[in-house]
Amino acid sequence: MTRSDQDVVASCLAGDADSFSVLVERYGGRVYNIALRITGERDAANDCAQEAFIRAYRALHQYDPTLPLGPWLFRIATNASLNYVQRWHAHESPVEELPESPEEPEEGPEATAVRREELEEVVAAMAELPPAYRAALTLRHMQQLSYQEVADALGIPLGTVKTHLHRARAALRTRLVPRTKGRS
Amino acid sequence: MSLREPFDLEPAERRTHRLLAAVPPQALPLGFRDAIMRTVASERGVGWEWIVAAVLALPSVAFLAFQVATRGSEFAAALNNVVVAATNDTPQAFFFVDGLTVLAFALLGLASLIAAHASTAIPSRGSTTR
Repeated sequence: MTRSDQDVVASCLAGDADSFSVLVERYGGRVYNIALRITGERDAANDCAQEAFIRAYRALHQYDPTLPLGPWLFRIATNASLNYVQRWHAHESPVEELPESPEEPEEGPEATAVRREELEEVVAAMAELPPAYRAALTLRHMQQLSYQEVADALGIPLGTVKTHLHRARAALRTRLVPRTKGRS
Repeated sequence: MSLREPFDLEPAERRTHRLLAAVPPQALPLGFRDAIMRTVASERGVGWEWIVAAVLALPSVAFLAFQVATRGSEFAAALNNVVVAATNDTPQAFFFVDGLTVLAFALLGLASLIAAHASTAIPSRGSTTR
């Protein structure tokens, strides 16, 4: 039977540190991808994601078990990634290639290649945005968080999140238009 | 392709959401979980080491402080004897150190070693996988 996040946290706090690996398995992918989209570098994302988990482990006693664990972890990961970007300006080197999608739709190889190219353009355009916008877009649209969860994760008011997201979407569209025109 | 979406997604966001949600997630780097768990395990060990170091060091420090406070003149005389013997090239110097003081110094040294290990065992940022 799958243990709830709260049960796992309770085990960790009771001294069973090995239980923490369950949380790393459960949230590692999402935390890493948040860090990757904010920093734009694989190595940096790896470091930030690991740092986020280690910080979370140290701060487990501060976690409120009445709230979901995911957004709490995402907040730590977002902070670690934004701190990294502020320190090293890592956003100047975006991640360029995408992995092979595990669920390719029933379209031909040509359509798949075009689709892949489109997605790479989206990622590249996103990497040109300011870090705060990247963080908001990542949490909202790639991690499917609600407005309130994004606000909690970024530590900013709900209204500011909506403004950030509105501007981020506009900035993303502005960057994508010349790319799609160039392709056509 | 069916994509998940936040429950409060607004119509104006739908197009951007479709674009960004279609970006496939990247796989975790190899050894990601193991690197974190190694750090977690070492932190647990480090916490234990600090406690042992404190348990060994604090009584020894207290005892040595008490010795200095009550027998400071004897320490000064012993130290003076050693210095005089060294400057006069005399092969012998007389001083007395009781066994408890030696034991306290030994425990303090041991505690310092354990504390030094604990402080160097904390991995620095970015070195967890390298």
